[in-house]
Amino acid sequence: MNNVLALIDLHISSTNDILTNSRELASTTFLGRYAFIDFVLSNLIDSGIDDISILVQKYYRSITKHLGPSSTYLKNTKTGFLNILINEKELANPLFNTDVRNLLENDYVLYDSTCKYVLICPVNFIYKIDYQKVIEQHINSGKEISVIYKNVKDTDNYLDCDKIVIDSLNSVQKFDKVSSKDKEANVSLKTYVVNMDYLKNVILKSNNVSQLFNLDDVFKYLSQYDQKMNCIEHKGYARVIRNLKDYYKYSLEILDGDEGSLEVFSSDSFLLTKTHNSRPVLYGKNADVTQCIIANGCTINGKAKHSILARDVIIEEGATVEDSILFTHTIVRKGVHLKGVVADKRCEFKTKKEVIGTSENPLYINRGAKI
Amino acid sequence: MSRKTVAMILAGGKGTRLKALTKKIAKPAVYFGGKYRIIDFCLSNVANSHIDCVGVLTQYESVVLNNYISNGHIWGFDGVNSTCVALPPRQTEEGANWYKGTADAIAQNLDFLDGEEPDYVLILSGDHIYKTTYDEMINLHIKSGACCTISVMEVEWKEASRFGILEVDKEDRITKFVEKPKEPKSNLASMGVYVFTYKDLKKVLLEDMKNPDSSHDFGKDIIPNLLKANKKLMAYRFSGYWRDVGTLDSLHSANMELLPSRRTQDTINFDEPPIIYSEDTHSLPQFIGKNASIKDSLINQGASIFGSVSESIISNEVVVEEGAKVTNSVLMPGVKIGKNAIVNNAILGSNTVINDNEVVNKDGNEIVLLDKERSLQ
Repeated sequence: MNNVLALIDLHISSTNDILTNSRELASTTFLGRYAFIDFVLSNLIDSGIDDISILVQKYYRSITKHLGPSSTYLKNTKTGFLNILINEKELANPLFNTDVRNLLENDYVLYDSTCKYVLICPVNFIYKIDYQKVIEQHINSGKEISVIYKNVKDTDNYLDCDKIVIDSLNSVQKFDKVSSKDKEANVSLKTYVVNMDYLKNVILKSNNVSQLFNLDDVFKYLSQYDQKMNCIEHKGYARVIRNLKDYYKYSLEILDGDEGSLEVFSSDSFLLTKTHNSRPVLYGKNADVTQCIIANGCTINGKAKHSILARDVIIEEGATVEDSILFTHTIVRKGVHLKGVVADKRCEFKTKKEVIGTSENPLYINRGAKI
Repeated sequence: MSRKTVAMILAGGKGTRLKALTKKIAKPAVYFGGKYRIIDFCLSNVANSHIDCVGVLTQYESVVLNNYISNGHIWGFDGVNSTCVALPPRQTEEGANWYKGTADAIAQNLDFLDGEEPDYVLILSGDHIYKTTYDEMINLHIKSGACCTISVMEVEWKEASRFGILEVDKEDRITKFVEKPKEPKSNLASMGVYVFTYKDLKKVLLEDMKNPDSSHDFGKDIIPNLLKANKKLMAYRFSGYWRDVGTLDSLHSANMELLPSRRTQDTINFDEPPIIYSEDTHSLPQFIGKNASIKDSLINQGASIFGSVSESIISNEVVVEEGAKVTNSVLMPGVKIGKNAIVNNAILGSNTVINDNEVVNKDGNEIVLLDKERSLQ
């Protein structure tokens, strides 16, 4: 689809949570081998969209480190583009470092483009979608802008997310927040399709609305006063990652294959991610592994149950890991028992023999901690 | 500017003794160790030796291998001024020619070598499992001023008659080369790894091409001819892990040497540099089911294990269903093992399907091979 420019918007995907203290959620490990941005990028490439710019607000380095060369994702590195856009002027000024100002600073992306439509996607929603169909629905609506939403009954999992009230013409009547009183809600997936000319106009005018607004805020504001926003329903699996608890819960949900979560793995295409040279997993004579997702490079001679192990994790003989998520290069030494733990990269569990969290409150261990 | 070495990898052989495994792919493209193909070792060794120009001579069933080699990006040869190219036989003004021997394969590509203007040419076999860098050998070759240096390793005396055996003087200058001698006088076996000074190589190849009686083989023709002409040939002593996986038994046993319980100090350590590079498939991480049991095995990403696996090598996209039991076996990519099936002492070629409750070689001590076609019968 060479008439669609995709903007992966990390400004509206940031979570102020312990998990993302030193990196973007976009480049945070997920399911052992992936980062969150891989899901969006794979959706885009599968939908034939290969003109992609990533709007980065902070932790620029962790994004470039994960992405590697564009050939990891693009089918053709001449006809496809994978750009990273940062607003250098506002790097030290997070309040004003909005996606709108990032786009104003890098407006060549819009003005050099011949695309008619712009797809704006966050990375903190996990879902599998065919954007081609979304674009078609947007075009058929005749509107300048469309938003993708999901109708949910389990509103507790979406508290404080944006919900939309839809009018009889399938347009947004108003935006609101999901509350604990809601039994059902149309949750905005913060994914928008916008006509290019409209977007250019909005960005130029947006400073008149507020200098602190992100595109998401501007769109919501304008939907009340300017253009009616078309609504497109996503009927498949979708989850929002707001914090560590969500991260833990939905990681294990996919491990268990619950709630239709396996839909994120398309049957006819692979999830794209950075490649590594890690060897296959070595299982020792004393290994006892059940119900786990395990990435290459791991060495297991202890017990692992209902857990997710990222690359190059070592579980020694006599160690036990249960209901836990271990990031790359974690080492669990002999005799240590982990349960309900999310261990960031390069942790070593050695001295403390019991490290226990709960499924409601998983215990997060900082990157590089020696315990 | 430093002197240039070009690597030429001989990868055209059929590998007849690997039977069905090489029915549709060349031996160097056969899978090894759950993730790798045999040629990964040789190409990684070249890359790790900082040689940035490599030609891979392919012939037998070359489509998969040529596709795999591609532009060499797997081993990093897609950088500036680097070259990695598959060189299958071609049609020329003189007609179409197959490669008639190892030496003929290089001789038919002298134009490629001329274009690269190398000072030295490293000639390798694409079907050996070992991890090394060739720097020391090339440096020894340059220092000695020899026209050719051959990598050798000491083999057990009782095994010596299976190899091309070299006799050397006290400076390791080669005095005699005998292909598979009945009564060997040395236990230094040629590894099929040669460094040639290019101008000498070109000269001897052009002479060999004119000889109608030659079999155009490095071991049988080129090396003996150089010795006859009293040229200086040196031996380079290699020590370390090296395996020729030319038979089903040797392929199975080299795979099994990777298991944690059978590793020795010599066995290839994939975690230590130099790294062996391979295609990193876009597979999901491996999934281990609730009732799975895995002991002493090597399992690649993309595999789904619901049954029992012990002392086995499992490749990507393999599925072992619940109740199935796999022991002492090598499962290549895409193999499916049905529920309650038993597989023992086996090599299963890519995409082989073992049906529910099927038993493969339950009590057999011999290694058996099953392939995709058999499972369709």
